[in-house]
Formats: sequence, C-alpha cells, structure tokens
Amino acid sequence: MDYFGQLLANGLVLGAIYALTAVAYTLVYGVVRLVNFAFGELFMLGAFLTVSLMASEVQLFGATVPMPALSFPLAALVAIALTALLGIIIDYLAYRPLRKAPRLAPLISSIAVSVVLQSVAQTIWGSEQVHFPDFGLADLDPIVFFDSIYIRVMDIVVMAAAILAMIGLSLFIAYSKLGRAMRASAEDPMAATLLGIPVNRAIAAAFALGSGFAALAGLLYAQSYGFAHATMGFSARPQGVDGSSAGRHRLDSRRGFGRRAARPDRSLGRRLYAGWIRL
Amino acid sequence: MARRRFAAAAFGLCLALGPAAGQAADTVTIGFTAALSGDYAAYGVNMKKGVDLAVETLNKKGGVTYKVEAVDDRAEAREGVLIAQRFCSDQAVNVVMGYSVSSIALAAMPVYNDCKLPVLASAVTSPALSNSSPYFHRNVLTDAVQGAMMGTYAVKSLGLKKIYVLHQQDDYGIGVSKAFSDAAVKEGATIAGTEAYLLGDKDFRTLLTKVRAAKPDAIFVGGFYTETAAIAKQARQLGIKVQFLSTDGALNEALMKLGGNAVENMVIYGMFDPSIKTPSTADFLTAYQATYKEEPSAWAALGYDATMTLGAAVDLASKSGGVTREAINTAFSQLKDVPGVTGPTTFEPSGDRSGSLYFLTVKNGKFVLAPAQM
Repeated sequence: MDYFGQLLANGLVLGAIYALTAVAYTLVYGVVRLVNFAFGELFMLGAFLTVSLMASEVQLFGATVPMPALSFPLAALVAIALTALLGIIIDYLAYRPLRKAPRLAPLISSIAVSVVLQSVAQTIWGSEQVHFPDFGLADLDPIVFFDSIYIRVMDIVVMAAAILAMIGLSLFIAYSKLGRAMRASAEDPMAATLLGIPVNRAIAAAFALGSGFAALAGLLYAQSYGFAHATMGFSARPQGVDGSSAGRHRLDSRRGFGRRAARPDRSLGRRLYAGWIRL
Repeated sequence: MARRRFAAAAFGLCLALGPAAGQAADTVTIGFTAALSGDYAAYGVNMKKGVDLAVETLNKKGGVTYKVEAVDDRAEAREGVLIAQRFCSDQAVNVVMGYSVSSIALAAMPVYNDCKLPVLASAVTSPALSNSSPYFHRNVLTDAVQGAMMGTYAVKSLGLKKIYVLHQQDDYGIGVSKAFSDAAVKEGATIAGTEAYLLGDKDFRTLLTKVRAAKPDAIFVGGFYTETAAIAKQARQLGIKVQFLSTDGALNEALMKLGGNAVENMVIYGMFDPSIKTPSTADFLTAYQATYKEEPSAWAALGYDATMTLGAAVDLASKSGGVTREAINTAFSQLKDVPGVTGPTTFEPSGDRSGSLYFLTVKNGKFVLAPAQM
C-alpha cells in the first residue's frame, strides 16, 4: 500500500506535466488541424530559458555569460513569454505559408522546426545536461502523508499550476473575445473570415498559448527532475500526443472541452497513424 | 563537371596523404577516442587534457614527435567499431588511447585484434576486458578489484549493514556491482536488493520508491555521474536520507554540478587525488594547473600516465628496432614500474595493471579524501 500510494503521487505529478503538454498540442490541433511536433522543443526551450535566467552565469556557445539570477516565478514567467513569442514566429515562418497546402506539408514542416530547434539548443547550451538551480521552495523537506507518501512542496506547486493554467485557458476560450475568435476559426475558417474575424491572428494566439503551455510544462519538468537537456523534448513528445488524443477536446464545443471526444473516426491517433502510413 | 572536380580532389588527397605514411618512424600518432560530447563527456575530456599535457612534455624532450588524433565516440558502441576500423586502416596511427565506456572498448577490441593495433585505455574498467586481446592494455584498475575494495571498505570502515545496489545496465555497471556485492556480503553485510537502470534514464522515482520500502542504510550506485546525481537528487525528494556510495564512474566535478547539495557526503573511489602531493605528482600538478586553470581529476592523471607509459614503450621499441605497432605492443608487456602520478605502471599478462585506490567523499561541493582509508 505504501508502495502504491507513493507511485500514485509520483504519477500525479508527472501526469500534471504531461497534461500541460497535451493542452499545447490540442490547442493548435483544434484550430489548424496540425500536430505541431515542435512543441516538444518549445518544452525544452522553456526549461533552458528558465534555468539560464535563474543562474548568475551560464555557458552559452561555450563562453561564460553573466545572467540576471531571477527568482523562480519571475524566470518562469519571462521564459513562458519568450517561448510564446517564439511560437508566433514559428507559425509565421513555418506554417503560415502552408496554410492552404495539403495537411501533411505543415506536419513535415513541424518536424523540421523541431530538428532545427533541437540543434540550435545543442549549439547554444551544449549537449550535456544543465543543472536546474536550487532555490528556497525546492529545498524544503517533503511533506509526509500517512507516514509513507512523500510529496515535495514543489510537487504541489506543479499540480496547482497545471490545474490553474487549465482552468484559466478554459475560461479564456469560453468567454474572451479572442477565445471566441479562436473557436470560430476552428469551426469554419472561411465563414470566420467572412464575418470579419482575423483568422490568422486567432491562429497566432493559439500558437502563443500552446507554446506558453509547452514552456510551462517543460520548466516544471526540469524543476522536478533537476536538469534541462537539449533532447528532453523528444521524450515528452509521445506522451503529449498520446495525452492530447486520449483527452481530445475540440474548440468548436461551447461547453468547453471533451464533448466530442467519443468520435473514434476522428481520433488524432488514427489520423496520425494514417499519416505515417502515407509517409 | 562535378565528377571531374571530385576526381581532382581525390588525387589531391592522395598527394597529401602519401608522404604521411612514410614518416611514421619519427612521428608517433596516438589515435585518441572517447566520449568527448554529450552526457558522459567528462571522462574523455579530462583524459584528453592529461594526454595533451603529456604529449607537450614528451615533445619538449625531443627525439620522437607525438601527435594526437582525437575522435569522439559519443558513448555509442556502433561509433566505437567504426572508429576502430578507421584507426586500423590509417597506417599513420601507431597506438590507440582513451576509451571511457567499457561496452564500446569491448565492441572495438576484435577489430584492433585483427589489425594488430595496440590499445592503451585509461578509463574502461570492466573485468570482461581482461585477456580480451594481446593488444589490449589499460592503466586503470578493473572493477573486479575496485568494486571489491569498495565493498570491503563500506562494511569494514563505514560500518554499513544493509545496502541496496543500483547499477546501470551495461558491462561496467554489472561488473562493478557484482564485485561490490560479493565483497560486502563476504564481510557480513546484506544486500537489500539489486535493481538496474539504463544509461540515459531520467526518472528514478519508481525505482527509489521500491528502495525506500526495503529500508536500507546505504545505497550503492554502480554508474556514471549523470545518473548518480539524478538518483541522489530524486532520493532526497522522496525523503531517503541514507549514506550514498558510488564508483569512479561518479568521480567527476560534474557530479556536484548536476547533483547540487544532494550529493554531499557521497563516498566514491579513484586512483588519484590532487590533495595527495608526492614529489612525482608536484610537476604534474603545477603544469596542469598552469595549462587548464583547474585541479586535475583522476582521469586526467590516468591519461597523463598512459601517455608517459607510451613514451617509455616507444623509447624501448626504438632501441630494439623500429617503432611499429607490433614493437610498441611488445614493449608494453616488457615495461616495469614506469613512474607516474598514479603510482608505478607494470602490465600483467592479462593487460591489467595493479595499483592502489583512494576513497573520496564530497564536502562542500568538492571531492576530498575520506577520513577513513584502507
């Protein structure tokens, strides 16, 4: 029982992080029907940016560069903002020119983006693991439940952050003007354009939000395991895609996520599978 | 057009390579290979620093000129075989040094055996390499010896009774953990359990949850610093506060960089420690610090010693004829007590070397000599 309880706790923490990654994938898939493989790398960049901003100096391109040594929450926010911005740039450069192209073209483009980002990260931060700096909250003794289940304060922060981020996103999609625009673009881009909705801006917003979520997941993962690594996004990718196809939500549902999840013919997994076969 | 240009380039390459094969007599080319990038780069990078320093020293002495040709194996066995084939077919290469992963050296040895190219390795410790080929020598102690000494030390000097063993699933991890466990059991300790993990694993919580349930008073990690640091860190997160033991695989500054304060008090072993100053190490220490602005690690010391041993072998070989691959290999087995910073080097017929071990511990983010030695 002790064993099971601890495994459950470990699993919940990891699950919260994967859920955030899944949200990133689904958000963009919902709007443009694109599995953006580059989210794995944005996950990694979120981690690297946070690590770098928290350190007093880092090795970039093999040279030592002084850094601002921000606190964890501040570094995390800046990293999320930077990654979100990068998400918009990626959309503009790699996917927007392919908006009218067959669906596999942007998918392959996203694989290319992911390879490029991974190489860039390896060039900048090197191919070795980078240690996640210790900070006050992470150094607290774990809280013990039932005398056998150890949960760190940061684990609780991770789960709370994941839940808050997801509630916030649901409200944003359901009630904000941009959220409505995103839903409209998801349902029928042509009709949305005719109604005067800036579809490309709505798509950019989806990329920004998705990238922010990927970055949040990445930095929480790095914090939890104590390192950032250039290929860490690669291992998070399958879990994210699985997660997003298992708990698939569509943005055209007014009542929030998950209404049409039980439509096997449209399941992302099957589409991906078909995609691979065709490749 | 493109083809003609290619032909011209190939012709040029032949011209450039042509004379190189002829000058082998007064130039000794060391083929150096180890993981020089990635998560396990520290051993190779440190070894290479030691080799480069020794080459500089030898070249200053005059006579034979030494040259290093370094190739990165990225800790991948398939790279290791390709590199071995490359060194074999390059007639300019007289000897191969380096190696940081036992499994890679094991995969490459049959290739060297076929082309009769001598290998003098400095950081591969698997017992499986002993007697693997007449062309294999190493100046680092085997895991069978080191692991057994650690097992005896853990029980006799540290008084540990119930030890949980974690090891990486490869030739190195299996060999060192078995030697450790056998010695510890012989001294009267119990092994609470043994679990394996893979190189590159990041999540050890499930494994450590199982370890915690067994309530050991120490955890021995037979593996490299990247995973050892992660295990120590995640063990702390799960509230495991026991003595950590590890091997020379954890003997790298990177252990503290990755593990932070979770690796404090971890006990490991190595064949060299800069704090032990003897007349023979003084020159090495000053030269190393002047060149690299850091303290030498055991791997740098072993790389340095290996190159100096090669120097002695080349001197011996040139006295009895030419400096060929075969002559260097014969000279290795004839050498007796070549002085070095890790003690004198003499090779046994198995290709191994006997020597002594220091036990080290992490204090305030630095390796220091453990209070108890054996």
